[in-house]
Parts: sequence; structure tokens; C-alpha cells
Amino acid sequence: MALINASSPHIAGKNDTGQMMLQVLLATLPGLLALTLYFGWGSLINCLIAAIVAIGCESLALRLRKRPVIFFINDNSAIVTAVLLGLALPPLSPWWLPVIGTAFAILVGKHLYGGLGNNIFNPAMLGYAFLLISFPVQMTAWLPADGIMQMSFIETLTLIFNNHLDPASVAIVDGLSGATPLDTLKTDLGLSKTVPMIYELPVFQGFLAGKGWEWVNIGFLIGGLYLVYQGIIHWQIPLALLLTLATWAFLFMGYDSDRYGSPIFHLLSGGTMLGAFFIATDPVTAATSAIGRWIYGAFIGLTIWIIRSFGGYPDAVAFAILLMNLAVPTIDYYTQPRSYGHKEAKFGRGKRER
Amino acid sequence: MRHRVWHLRGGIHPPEKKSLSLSLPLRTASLPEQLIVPLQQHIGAPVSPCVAVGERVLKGQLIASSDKATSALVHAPSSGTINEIGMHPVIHPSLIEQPCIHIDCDGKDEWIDHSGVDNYAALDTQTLLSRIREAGIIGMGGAGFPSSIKLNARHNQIETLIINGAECEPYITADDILMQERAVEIIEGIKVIGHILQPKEILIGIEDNKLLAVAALERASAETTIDIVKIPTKYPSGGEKQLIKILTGKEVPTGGLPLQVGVIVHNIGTVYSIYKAIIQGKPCISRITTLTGEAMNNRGNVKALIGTPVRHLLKEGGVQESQLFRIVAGGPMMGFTLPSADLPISKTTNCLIAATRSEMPPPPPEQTCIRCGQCADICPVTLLPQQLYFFSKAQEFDKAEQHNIFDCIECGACSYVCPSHIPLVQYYRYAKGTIKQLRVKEEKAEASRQRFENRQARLEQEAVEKEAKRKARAKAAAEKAAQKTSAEPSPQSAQQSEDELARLKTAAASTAKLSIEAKKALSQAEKKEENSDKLEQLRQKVALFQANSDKAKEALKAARQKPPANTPPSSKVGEPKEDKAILELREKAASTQDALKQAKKALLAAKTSHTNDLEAIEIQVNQAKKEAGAIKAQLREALIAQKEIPLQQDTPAQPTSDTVPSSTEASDKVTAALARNERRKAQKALDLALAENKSEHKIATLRKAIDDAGSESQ
Repeated sequence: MALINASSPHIAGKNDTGQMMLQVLLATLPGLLALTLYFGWGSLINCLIAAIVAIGCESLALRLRKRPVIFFINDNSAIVTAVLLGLALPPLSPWWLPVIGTAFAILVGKHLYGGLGNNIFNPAMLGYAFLLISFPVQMTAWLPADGIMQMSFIETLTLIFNNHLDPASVAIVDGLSGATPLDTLKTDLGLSKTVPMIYELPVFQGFLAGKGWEWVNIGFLIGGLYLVYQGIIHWQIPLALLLTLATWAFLFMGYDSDRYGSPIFHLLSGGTMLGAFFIATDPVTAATSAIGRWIYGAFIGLTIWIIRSFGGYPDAVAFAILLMNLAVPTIDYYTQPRSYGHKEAKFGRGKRER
Repeated sequence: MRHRVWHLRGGIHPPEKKSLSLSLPLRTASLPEQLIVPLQQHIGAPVSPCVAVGERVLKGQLIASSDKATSALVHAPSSGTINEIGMHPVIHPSLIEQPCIHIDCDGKDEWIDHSGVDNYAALDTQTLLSRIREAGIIGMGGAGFPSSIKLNARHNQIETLIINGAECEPYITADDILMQERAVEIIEGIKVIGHILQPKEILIGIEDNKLLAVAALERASAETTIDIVKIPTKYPSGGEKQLIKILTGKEVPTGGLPLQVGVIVHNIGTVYSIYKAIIQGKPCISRITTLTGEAMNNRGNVKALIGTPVRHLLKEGGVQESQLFRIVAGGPMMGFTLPSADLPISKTTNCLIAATRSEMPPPPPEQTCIRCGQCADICPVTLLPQQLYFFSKAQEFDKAEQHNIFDCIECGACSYVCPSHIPLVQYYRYAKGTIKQLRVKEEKAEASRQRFENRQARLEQEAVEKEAKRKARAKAAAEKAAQKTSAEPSPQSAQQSEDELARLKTAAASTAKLSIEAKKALSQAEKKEENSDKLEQLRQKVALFQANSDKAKEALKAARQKPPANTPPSSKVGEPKEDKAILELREKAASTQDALKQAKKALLAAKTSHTNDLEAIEIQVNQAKKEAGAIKAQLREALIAQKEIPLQQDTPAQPTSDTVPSSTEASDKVTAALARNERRKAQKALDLALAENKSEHKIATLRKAIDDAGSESQ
């Protein structure tokens, strides 16, 4: 009898990183569905392109770093990064936008830092920020939330692949695209309109907030709640983020309702829910203790509100998260929990006591 | 009234698999042909065998003992003949070999005379404790700490006595079956412990997946104040610190003992052993062991004798060898794999799992940590396991320590939930082990630094003393010379010539120094390329100094060559010429002293490196000491004798007798000097002993030696 020698514990639970990533992908479906219903096939196509590029880049990087390719591909983390980026891109963006963004996210954002688990910044948001700075025109060419469903999958695909080549396609996309609610608010406030006046515009004729956008956000909210229920993400970060965002919006709406958007508007516009449940909760780049998660989430919420209200960009989720990613190591050092048998939590960085 | 149950943070719910071993009632394992009884089953001082090979022993007979309180006595589990006493691999996480006594069982299972007590309450605490100690009882939940020590608390120190019946590890049912089938005996055992400790309350904590055990104990304890508390089934609620938290809400301070919060915890198995020891008078020679795992057909709980080979018990459990993939001693969460089935069970072996490959497959390859934090969610100690993992892996041990790695109880819950299959506990063990090693190293370095500093201080002190003595001697010599000058004129001229010589020496030295300094200044100036005037000046200076120096040297040389003027014959009397015999003796004394020194050095080296031939070296040292002592005594006598001879010769030449010490005075002086020397050595030894924290006894002896030497020298 050949007995094996192994260290305890001798049994393991069913948790698996690859499975967790698949759960995250599954949870994006309600949001993706809403995007597809209101903005057409574009988002799905973006996600697919990004996923293929992600797998390619991941394999390349793993090979260059001399790591077992299949073993690490199977953790599905590259696909999650790709899909999260694809969801954040405008639906009719040219094909090279997800390609460049994903390649940057995987190669620079992830592998240059040492691969999964070692990256400081959320790779998807790093790719998004890179694209937003480099290609502002394409990155802000969103569509109004209607009418696109008349366009078939093939038509959408053709548009996406001809976008930059065929002047006719470019003209079609230009003709179709319009400002998002966040964009509209920013631009029209600049034109000294008041918030109530702006809310009368067609783009705001939704059920609760911006047309279509509210459902996209509700879709991501549902998916996010599923992840919380499954124990894959911790509830502290999204709750802290949403609470802070809503609180600041509420306070300033009370201060000057002509110039500041309502809490509902902020919660259900742009990338709020996607950011709160899918991106800020990326375990690798988020704070790790319970108190740390509260701090981390709250500051992201605050930063989102500040950039949206006073900054130059219409949406701010990517920048807010990237900024707070930087603060994570510090937050972690100062939020060690109190361990059993200790009177109080230890504070700060370890120095050997003498 | 139902006792309050506090919430235990974290924890996991692995598949219990307890029903595997609960279908059959408790049975007694058959008697093996040979028992291999390990001598070190406990945490504490080792015991040594008190039987010889070939001796027949009876069941329950003491076979290994020790005077140390922290040791646990060992008894023969069955009657038979001692076949061998030697090293044998034992059940231990480190796969080590330990001394074991092999007993060939004669099959008669014949008990030694034994008797319990009818009324334990009539006995005082110390008697009960010594009975428990004599029965060799140790914590049978796994720690193996001698129970008599744990029970030896101050009066009124214990508020809560907790009996641990949680048994939270999957698979294990040994305590469960014991509670079900021996409830009355367990309650009796608890009463004995209660009588010893006099706690304010007695609680039995049992997980709520053991309802039969709860019911049995409730029936048995109906007449008592013992509180049986059902706690939620959750791993690791049976950990000592965790159970204390659940049942009392108190936390044992980090690095401390439950005693500090007025709590003491005993395991069900230990309680049962105490019952048997006190009421029946039987020592701890058997235990309940769960035989389980899917590679066994006949799973269940057996009463097994300590020292029964695992192979024998596996057979008892109907093991299918073809299915067997790993044997685990203890539970699947904290137990350890056995390298072979030929190891004997000990007092702490509560479970043997014969697992198939599908049941406990080899661990999958480790993936990257994505900091998902699931480990932190379930950690029962509220650590941040993912941070500890990074620190351990990166060998940032100070940070690991700052993140309380030493509070980790190695329950394995974090490894269990890790989605990346990282063997976290192994990383923590590695970090803890390395930190401990580093600490030992640091302590050693600190100790040697201390030793070095003490030695330096001692040497300095000695130098100061020597200098003082030298001055005193010089003064005495000068006085003597002065006295002699008044008696005879000739020594003065000798003194004068000597003074002259000294003066010349100083002059030569100082001029040489001046010349060297001038040369240095010159060479520096040359390097710095000073102006030629200055250089010339310097050169002249050098030449001058050089000439002065040469002159002084010559003068000195001349003075030295000149024979000392009118060397007085009496000067020889002052420094008695040593004859050949004394010189030889001196040499001998020096060489023996050297030998002694070397032997002592060897002894010290042997002590620090823990070699086994310490005794041999000690004998050598003692011999060398004796020799050195003898030679010294000879030398002393010879010196005294020699002093006497020239003194007798010189007496007529001496005008006054009181300026020269008489023969008895001289011998006294020599004795005193030698005694002083002895005293100084003793003082040195004492300093060393103090610096090295030697035992009280040794220091006291050394002090006495100093006093003796001191009184002798006066």
C-alpha cells in the first residue's frame, strides 16, 4: 500500500477560482441583456471581441513569463477583465477599441505587474482609462437608448468592423450617436440650464432616471446582488459606495437642486452599478478587511460624485476606482481587525518589538 | 434555565461524515501480539523505563516514571514480557522516533492489584491530584498535557469548569460514543474534577449534532448542577479557546492560558480516564479510538490499548488495503498522515481514518491568491489569512508577526475554503517555525555578546588590579632600598646607576619620538607640496632631532654596557635565586595548568554542543585539576623550603632581623598569595555563573568557595 504524506487539512471545500469567475460572468447577464435591449448587439460584440483578444494576450504573456498556459487560462480571470471592459465601451465603437483596450489591460495592467493577484490597478479600468484618454471621440460616441434593435446582428457587426474605413458607416454611426444622460447634464448645465429643465429632455424620459440607462443599472444591480448572495463579493464595498454617492447627491440637491443631480439619477446613471458591484469589488485590487472595505467603497462613491459634479469627464467610475486602488495597501495596513485574545486591533505597519 | 451561547465568529461546515462510525456500538479491540508503548506521549519532561528487558509485567504495572511534575507516567496496557526497550517510530507530525517499551502480550491480560476509592470527597485535593498523576493521565483531546498539572489550580481561581464534548472535527465520534455509552461514569468523573477545583459553574459543551449524547448526559446529570449546553455545530467550536468564547463570552488573552480568565477545559476522554483512575484505581492504559474512512468496512469506535499498532486496528476496522490511499491520525482538518501502519497508538490518538483516493484526493496544484477574502471571513481568530500568506511567502516575518501569526490555531479552515487551493496552514507553519528559529539564534547571539562584554570588563578589572599591585610592589621595593641605603652605602650607587639608566631610556625614547614626528611632518609637507622654505626648515628640524635621538641612544647603550657599580651582595638576598628543582616544578605547574585550562575549554565546548561524552570530559577535567593541585602544593613547599635556606645563610650578614621576613612569615605569605589567587579565580567563576544564569545552588557553592578562600588568605 502506497500511503501519501500530506499536510492538514486533508479535505477541501468546493470553492474554485475558475468557478467564481464564471459566476461573475453569469452575473453580468442581466446588465448585458438590458444593454442589448436598449442599445443593440454592439455591447455583446464588444465583449466577444475583448474576450478573444484577452485569451490571446493572456496566453502570450503567460508563455513569455514561462508559466503553464492552460492551467492559468482556466482561472477565467482574463475573460472577466475583457467582459467588464466590453460592457463599459460604447456599443458601436470600432472593433479596434476593445482590441487595444483589452491588450493594454491584460499585458500592461495585469502581467507587467506580475499577473493575477499582483496587479495594483483593476486591469479593465486601466484599459478603459487608457482608451478614454487616447480616443475620446470614439469613447464618448454613445447611442440614444432606442431604435437600435431594428439593426440586425450582422448589420451591427459590419458597422463595427467598417466604422473607421467606410465613410458611409462612419456617417451612420455619427448620425446615430448622441449624448448619455450624464453627458447631457454636464453639457447643458454648462449652458446655464437648470436640472429640472434638463430632466425634461427626451434622454431623461425613463421610468426613474435616464431612458434605458436605468434598466442597465438595475440589471447590474440584480447581478451584483446575486454575487453578494453567492458570497463571491462582499457587500460592504457596494453598499458603502452607493450610500456615499447617494448621500452626497442628496445633500447637494438639497443645497441647490438647480445645479446638482438627484441621488436616483446618480445611482442609475452611467457605470454606477457596474462599478459598484463588479469593478470596485475586484478582490485583487480592493481593500481586504471589513473596515477597509467600508473606507474603500465610501471614498470611491465620494470621488465619483466629485468628478461627475465638477470634473471634466461625464462619468467617473473608472477614475474613482483607479485612484482608490492606489490607496488600498495603506488602507489595509491601517485596518487590521482585532484578533481573538487581543484587547485592541493592531495599528499600522509591523515593526519588530524589542 | 438555558445557558447563554455566545457567537463564534467565522468557522466552516465541512461534511460531517460522523455517521460512518456511529452505526455500531462501542467495542473492545482484540489484544494484539505485541504492544509498543511510547514513553513520550505527553507534553513535558521525559520519563525513563523502570522495568528491564525480559521482566514480566502485569496489566496496569508502572513501566516508566520520572520525578518531574510535568511528566506523565506510563503503565503496561496488558500483561506480558518486556521484549525490547528502544527507539521506534511513533505517531507524531514530525515522523520522529522515540523511546518505546515493547511488551509481548501473554494473552492473560492479568491485572496488577488495584483499588479505587469509594468516597473521593473524603480525600484532600493533593491526594486526588497525586492519584491522577500516578495514573498517567494526560489531556486526551490531543494536547497531551499532564492533567494533574492542569487541575492544580489555586483555591477559588476557577470560575467555570468546561467539559469539552464539542468534537467538531468531521469523522471523529470517540467522545460522542463515550458520552452516549458512559454518561454516568463521565458525570462521576466531572464530579471528581469539580471536587478538586471547586468551580462556580460546570458546563458541558456539546455540538447540537450529538443529540443522543446530550440526552444521555442530561439523564445522568439530572441530580447535579452540571449544565449541559448545546452549541451550534460549526468547525472549530471544539477548539479550547473557541469553546471558552462560545460558553462564557470570554477570550483567553493572546499567549495566555484559560486559567487567566478563570476557566479550565477538560476533554470528555480525559474526564473518563480520571473517573477510572479515582473510582476504579485503573491507570490510563486504553482509550476510545474511532476507526473510520471509506477504505474500512467495519467502521466504528473501539476501546484500544495504548501501544496497539495501527495495523492491528486497521484490521479490526476491516481495512481494504487496495483502496487505502492515506491514513490520517486525528481528524481530517488538523490530523496528520501516517507514513506507515506500523506505528503504535498513543493516549492522544482519538481517530484513525483510512481514506480512499476519491475521499481524500491529493491536493490540487496551488493557484494564485486573488485576495477574495473568504479565508478572512471564516477565520475563527479574526486574522487576515491572505495577508499572512503574502508575508509568509515573501518572508516578511516581522509583518507576519505584527499580523498576529502566532494567534493562528492552524485549524485549517482557511485552506478548506481557499478557491485557489493554497495550503495556507503549511505557509503559516513554515513562517512560525522560521521565526522561532530566528529567535533562538538571536538569543544565542545576545548571550554571547553578554559573555564577551563580561569578559572584557573582567579583563579590564584585572589589568587595573595588576597595575595597582605593581605600583604597591615598586613602592615597597623603594622603601626597602631606602632602608638599605641607610644600612649600606653601596646599594645607593646601584640605585643611582639604575635611575640614570631609566633617565637615559626615557630620553632616548622621547628624542626618537620627536624625530619620527618631525619626519612625518616633513613627508606630509612634501606630499602637500609646501613652499621650499618651509620644507627646508622641516628638513633641518628632522636632522636635528635625528642627531639628538642618536646621541641619546648611544648614551643609553654605553650606560647599559657599563657593569653595574658595586653590586651589593645583599641584593641577591632580596631576590632568592631559584634552584633547578624549583624551576622544573614551575614549568610543570604551568604545563599542568595549561592542561587543565584546555580540558575546561573542551568541557565548555562539549556542553554547548551537547555531545554525549560529557562525563568523560568531566572526569578528565577533574584529573587535570588534581594534578595541577598536587604540582602546586609541591611548588609551594619547595618555595618555602628554598626561602628558608638562603635566609638561614644570610641571617648572620643581616644586621637587623626584622627587615627580613622570618621563615614562618614567608611561608604564610606564600600561602596567602596562593589563597588570594584561588579567591580571585573563584570570583571569576562566580561572575561567569551569574552572567550565565546558573542555578542558585551552583552560585551559592561558588560564593562559599570565595569566602573560604578569602578567610584563608587573611
